[in-house]
Amino acid sequence: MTVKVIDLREPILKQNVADAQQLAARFARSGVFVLNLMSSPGAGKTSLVVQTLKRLPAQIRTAVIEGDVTSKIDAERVEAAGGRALQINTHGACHLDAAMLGRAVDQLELDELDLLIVENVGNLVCPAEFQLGENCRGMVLSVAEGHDKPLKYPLMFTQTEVLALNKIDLLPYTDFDVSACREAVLALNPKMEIFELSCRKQQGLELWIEWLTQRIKSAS
Amino acid sequence: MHELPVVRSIFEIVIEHARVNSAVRVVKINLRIGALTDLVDQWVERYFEMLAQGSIAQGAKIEIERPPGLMRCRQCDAQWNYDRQSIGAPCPQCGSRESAIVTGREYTVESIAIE
Repeated sequence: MTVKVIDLREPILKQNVADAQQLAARFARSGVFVLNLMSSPGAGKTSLVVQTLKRLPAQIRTAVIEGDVTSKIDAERVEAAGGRALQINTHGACHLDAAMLGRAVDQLELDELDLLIVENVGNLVCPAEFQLGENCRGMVLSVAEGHDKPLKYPLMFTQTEVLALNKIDLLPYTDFDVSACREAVLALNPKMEIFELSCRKQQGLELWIEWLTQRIKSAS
Repeated sequence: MHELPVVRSIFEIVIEHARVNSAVRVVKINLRIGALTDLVDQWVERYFEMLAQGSIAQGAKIEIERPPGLMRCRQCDAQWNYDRQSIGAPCPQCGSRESAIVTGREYTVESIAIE
């Protein structure tokens, strides 16, 4: 039988890209600002979400979508803090994709929101590959993880535009070098906005809130 | 780490085009995956074998081309190779940090060979 070669040149994740584009259009129509928050497990994404909800101006209507392999712990933490949260369980998948997010978004009244925070699955590798139609990709890095993370996981640092450097209250107990970390991050991504903060000690959150509030305003 | 959903996407693209072209069998699949992309060849092959069982793509050979990382300086147009460790390095010619990735992030099904 003759063998025929067919040129395709199709992006492997084309379905996800198409789903993400549809989501982006929905977000734009509703004027909602969508923040996709990524980090390794335990860096403090949920803590940052909780502190953010406490501090955002009251007129900013916010919902949170929590992505996790299993459990509702994060959504419950957000709800305990008075936030509105939906949980997506990925049942083993190491990242959220646009189709999963779309199903969760269907349960929200987007027109009644100004901000949607999507907390991705804790993982510094995979979530960076999957667009979600978000307006902004942010990441949380904690000082307990070490300042060499940008060198170990460069893709994540090139795919995000804001970095919350969390747990700075632990600096005296670690060998974390803030200036080495900043230098490594900015070498990968010269435009990265970096906020040094501690969710536990509630330090440095004002500048983060100010930046986020400005971004939300510019999207509406 | 996310090979399974990625390989499922590859499988769906392959099957869709094989059907459109009235294939009875997919012989070979050529992928182009940049050196910077986190995808392990061995797992791509294993997952594909699993997903393709009983389909017209069963037994298809997977060939993965890995374009090396190539960076271009936005200031002086110099080009140089990079890898995961050196992706953030400044331009070796003029020292600028304003650079753009030319190759290394490819993620495509290039072609399929069918019968």
